[in-house]
Amino acid sequence: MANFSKKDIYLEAAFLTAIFFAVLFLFIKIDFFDRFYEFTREYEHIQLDEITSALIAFLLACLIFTIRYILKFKKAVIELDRANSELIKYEKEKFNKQKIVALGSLASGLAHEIKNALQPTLGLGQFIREGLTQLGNQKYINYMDIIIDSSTHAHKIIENVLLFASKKEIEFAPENALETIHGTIRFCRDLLPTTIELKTKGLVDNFGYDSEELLINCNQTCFYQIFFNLLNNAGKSINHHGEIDISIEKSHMPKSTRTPSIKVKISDTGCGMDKETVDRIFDPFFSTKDISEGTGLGLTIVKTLVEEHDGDIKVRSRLGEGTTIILNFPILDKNKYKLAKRHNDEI
Amino acid sequence: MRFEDLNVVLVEDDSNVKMTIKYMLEEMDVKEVMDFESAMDALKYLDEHINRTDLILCDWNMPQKSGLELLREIRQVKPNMPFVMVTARADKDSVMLAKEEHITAYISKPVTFDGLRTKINVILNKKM
Repeated sequence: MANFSKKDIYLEAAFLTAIFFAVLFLFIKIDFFDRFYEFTREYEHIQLDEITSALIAFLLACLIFTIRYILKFKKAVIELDRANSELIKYEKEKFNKQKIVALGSLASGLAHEIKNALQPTLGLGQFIREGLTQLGNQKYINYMDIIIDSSTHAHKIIENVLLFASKKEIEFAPENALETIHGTIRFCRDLLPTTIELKTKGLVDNFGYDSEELLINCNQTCFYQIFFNLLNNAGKSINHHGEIDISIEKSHMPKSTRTPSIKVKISDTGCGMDKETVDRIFDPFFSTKDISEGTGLGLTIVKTLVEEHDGDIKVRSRLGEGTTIILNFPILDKNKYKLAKRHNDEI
Repeated sequence: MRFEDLNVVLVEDDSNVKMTIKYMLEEMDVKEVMDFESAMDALKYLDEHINRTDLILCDWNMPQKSGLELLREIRQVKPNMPFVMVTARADKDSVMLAKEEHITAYISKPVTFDGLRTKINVILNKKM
């Protein structure tokens, strides 16, 4: 593809100048101008000097025409280049979307098969354990506990992978931001050990809140999942006693300062992470915990769900100094959106 | 109706899953469990014995005839037959589809003993 960058134009101009001076030097060297003048005198009768002038004028006009055409051509090439880049980008996005859909189908099919395969262990395992308990055979009871635990863990992985892969299943509705966050945090508080103090800021003490109605586009189940995973991680990073601080304030989306947002910061006094770990925490199956403590998909799911909410997530951490997770969720224009109605239907 | 009075028809193409659910039902002391590995075989049995059947537990994904297709055929003959779909699918679309077909209940795989017992209990209580 032709390149019309400033550097190339300067190079071409320098090249032209060099050619010009080389030709000029040659003309002077061979005394071209004097010889040409004498030549035109010889043919004065046919107005050779006027013809030569006209020819030079014509060449000059051609030159100007060429320069204008090149400039137009340059514009067209740049436009073509840009369109080509957009096409490549679009093809890439399309391919990625198709890959995601294919992966989703694969995950769904795989989940079905694996759930079937887990059925005997999870369905009958407890009866075997009961039988072994009656026989009083502790050694085999322990074996059975490991088998059941492992199968339960496998089932959790499948559920998490499905959640991660089946994004199309999530439905959103406008929800009161503070109420949703308040309710979720209150629920999650009960899951933390009593040795960990949960503090909140930005909400009035005792979980009261500003009456202003701030709407976010939200799926409450996914919201709960986001906060549960984050608070669970924060709790596990704290050795016995510690604090988790949650602050909530109005802010702007990091990538678009014109979009107002609800900013939630979750800071813990846990063990923190080094830069290498921070760079990898959202990678699927990456975990700093023991395999029995998690699937390594918790934060991957958090990031996916936050992005599904058009939100943003950032992590700040230092080894030995705790971690801060910063979430931003865009606030909806309440002139355009209304609170979702509740409906509850279960078979 | 009690668990001891229940005549159950179980339809599941995966034999390990089928036997697991059958054993769980037997642990609940149900009266009888007739198990089949295809909807076609289940239909042949139900053609003659539908009136003595109290509950159908059926897998969703099966070759040739799916659980949903079996449900539709059963609903034409006995609209009030308690029909529980046993499925690995728990997505919204599948749930909506199941509701539209007037399924009695669905239970997600892998099925646990307590989960299955609770679900059947709810159905028995509704029947009463």
